[in-house]
Amino acid sequence: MNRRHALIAAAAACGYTPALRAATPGLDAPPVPGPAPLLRLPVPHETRLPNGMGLVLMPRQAVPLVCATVLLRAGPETDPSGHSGLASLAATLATQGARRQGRAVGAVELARQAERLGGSLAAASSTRATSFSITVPAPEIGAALALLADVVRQPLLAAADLQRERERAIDGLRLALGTPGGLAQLAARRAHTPGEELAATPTQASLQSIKKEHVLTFFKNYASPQVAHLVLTGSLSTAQAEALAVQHFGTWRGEPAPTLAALNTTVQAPPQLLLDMPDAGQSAVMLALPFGPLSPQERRVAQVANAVLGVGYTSRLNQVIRIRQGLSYDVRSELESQPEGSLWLAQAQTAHPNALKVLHHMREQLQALLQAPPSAEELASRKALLAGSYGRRLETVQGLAALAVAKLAQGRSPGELAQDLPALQAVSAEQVLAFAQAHLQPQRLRSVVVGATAEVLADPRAAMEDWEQRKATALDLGYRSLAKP
Amino acid sequence: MLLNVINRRRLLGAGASGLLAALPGAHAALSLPPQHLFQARLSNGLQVVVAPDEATPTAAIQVWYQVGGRDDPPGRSGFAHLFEHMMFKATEHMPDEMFDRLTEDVGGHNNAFTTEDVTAYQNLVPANHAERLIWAEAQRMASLKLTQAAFDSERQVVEEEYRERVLASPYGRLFNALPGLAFAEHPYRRPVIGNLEELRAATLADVQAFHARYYRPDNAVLIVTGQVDAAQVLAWAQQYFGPVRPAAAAVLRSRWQEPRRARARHVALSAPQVPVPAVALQWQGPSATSADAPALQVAAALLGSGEASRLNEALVLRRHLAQSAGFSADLYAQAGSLTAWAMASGRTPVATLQAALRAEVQRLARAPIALQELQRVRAQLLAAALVARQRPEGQAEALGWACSLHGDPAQAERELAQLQAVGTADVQRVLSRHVLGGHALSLHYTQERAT
Repeated sequence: MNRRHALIAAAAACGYTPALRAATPGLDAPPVPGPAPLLRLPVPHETRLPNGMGLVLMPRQAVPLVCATVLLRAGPETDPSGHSGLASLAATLATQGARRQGRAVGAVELARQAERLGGSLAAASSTRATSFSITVPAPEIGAALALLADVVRQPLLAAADLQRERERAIDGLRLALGTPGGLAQLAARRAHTPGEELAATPTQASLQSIKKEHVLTFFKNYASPQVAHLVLTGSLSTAQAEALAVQHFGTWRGEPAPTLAALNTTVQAPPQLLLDMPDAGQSAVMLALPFGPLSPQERRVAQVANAVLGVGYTSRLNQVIRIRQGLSYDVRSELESQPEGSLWLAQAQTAHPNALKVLHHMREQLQALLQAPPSAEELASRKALLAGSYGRRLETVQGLAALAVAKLAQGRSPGELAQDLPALQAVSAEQVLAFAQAHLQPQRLRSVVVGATAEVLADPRAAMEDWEQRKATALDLGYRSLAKP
Repeated sequence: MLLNVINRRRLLGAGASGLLAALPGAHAALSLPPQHLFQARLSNGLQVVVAPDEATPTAAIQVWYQVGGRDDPPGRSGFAHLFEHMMFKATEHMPDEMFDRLTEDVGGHNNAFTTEDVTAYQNLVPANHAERLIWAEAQRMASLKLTQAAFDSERQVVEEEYRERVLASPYGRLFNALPGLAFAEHPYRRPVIGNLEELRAATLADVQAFHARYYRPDNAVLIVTGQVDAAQVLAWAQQYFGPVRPAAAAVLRSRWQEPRRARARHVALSAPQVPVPAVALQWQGPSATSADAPALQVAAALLGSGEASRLNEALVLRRHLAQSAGFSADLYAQAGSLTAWAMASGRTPVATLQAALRAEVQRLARAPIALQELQRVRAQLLAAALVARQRPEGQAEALGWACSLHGDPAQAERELAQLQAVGTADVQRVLSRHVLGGHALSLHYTQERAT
């Protein structure tokens, strides 16, 4: 068993700092921790079927469960102009009906079959990754893979199902647009994500325009073993995994996927946007900062920098905005990085009169990151946070699958997972500072505030800002500028 | 969807699910190693439960207190939850927010949540830090040293939480109104999150009084799961919690009675920013300890769990009346509530949607149920238990619910066997009793007209 695992001294280097004052551990100070336990990272077994489909197995025997995922290396970036939402809708549609043993099986029966195995079919589509997955008790994995194979290889893609799923997608969009936080996210991403194809987002019009032939073309182009991987995680042997893969996907044939034209990376949107949603219960405050692509090493530094700013209770944004000032229940930041470029986002919800105060604190914290490196203690804490959340994914079959799929979506091997934690531990405070100074430049900073404008602008800070004001209802996500030209 | 659980960070997922050894039916072949439970009760009354698991490098340390929204003092709706936030502030030997230092900063995390009946504090850490969290939990049970400034600031955070959940979320006002409509007299009628006016009325003195009244060893259970040695954990529990003084008198525990509803009732609510209308039907339900509880949970899963569930099949997939639909059996310690809900699709009139919703629930109560359908639900419940069991937090949470609602951690495993044993006749018997034999509250929730 041990041979199957790379042992990584995990929590080891992670931030235990003894208190400075004289105190007695276990009495008026916390007891001293013992030696750190070892994190066991399963060694991925990778191979390729003769038809070109990749197979990845990450064993975990602790609980008799298996998670099976089919990954197609294409996502919303392939959506034709004007038809945003296609990849996502196509993926959902495949789970709504498939040909099974020569018979058309509709949405209800397909769901019953999956649920009788103890699982449910899930479909998702994000940049360069459309996935279909199911998690079942180990004895049911054969039946689950048969189901998954039929969904990917022989989906019905019925017109009635398309109509229904399109309406559900439009309702879902309406739901997101009805909340200040949802609207701010969509607007900031649409306006500021580098690369037009990556920034495009589904709208009611784009969803309405998707016809059955678009869905068929998506499947013809991308449901192909040459761009597909089968990822199996959980209680399964290598021999079982290989036999099952051959049984269910060995005869799959398909064309190589077309290559896409180079992506456009221009950004044109108002730098400071204030969207009026007069009866919103709170304001949503967002900062967006687009910058260039990052190397794998830079990405790790960027992750640490982002964790310093806005991940977890100890992060600077949370310390200042939530804990010290009580201005928000939920404040955080996130970082996305693609070969076309990167986007850093910070967001919070707050009472309308406090919106500009929150924005001010966010900017100030970003500035501070450019002034000085994080302390050794803070750096250790943030690395421990990232290593811990990584480690927790190793404990579930779904978490393992997510790690493997993330690597594959980047065009990398899950075998590289073993290097992630050591590389994270190697990030230095000086690298964090250098990254911030090189990429998080204040002149690139963009703001989106959604709320009751009259109350937001009552803050005296409003006089110092140059806002482009619009009605939330006038927003058009079909355009970078968020308005019809 | 309707689970009225408020927590420090985000809404909790599904309720408790336990563990099992072997099951009848489709999964007879699947057997799990039995979970080894170790239990003790300290002389000050603290219950300690340990479930070691060598398959993880982490440990979950949780303390569940028998106090919830039902115990909010008069004129202080939302106080139990507000208090939960204050438990992250200073104690005699810990500065504010020390729990973040002990968990997040070493690669773990912490959270807490407040429900109608219980307040739970949850920590997950690399297993070598388990002792530190047991020490820290004992510290905050023993004393709170809250300053006015820390109290004021955290109360503002809770006010923002209220705004975010209730005012800024499209269905927030619906969920907030439901408890007051579902319960006529029981304190469950007050939403756990409370209201802004009563949150603002709370004082520092209220905090100390609440701590003294409910945060005591004989009103709590310590649960530790993960890569730990049971004997060692019991020794740490004795070392750190043992000195916490027992209270002089037993916890004052009221048992409220909810009267039987005498007639059906209809309520129409409207709010700003309702993207699509929603409807609900709510019936009175029994408490979590009722013999009807397992069959009602299975009925809820038949109706609302999964794409192939009755409500999704009929209302969403077949008739296109709803974009989503579900059924929730919220069975609390002293009373319960059964709610069927649906969110309209496109231009479906609310009356049409509600009639369809009611018809589906009645059909389950009256028309034959295929055994295959029951097997679907049994398989789902089993798999959900396996998924939860993968993580020490999942194990601890199942044990926490079992201890809190049934006084016995072994109920976590028993409950799964009970769910697997429910037959179609049981489902129809409990639906006849609580749904067909009860009076429904019917609710429409729509967009406010422009003024």
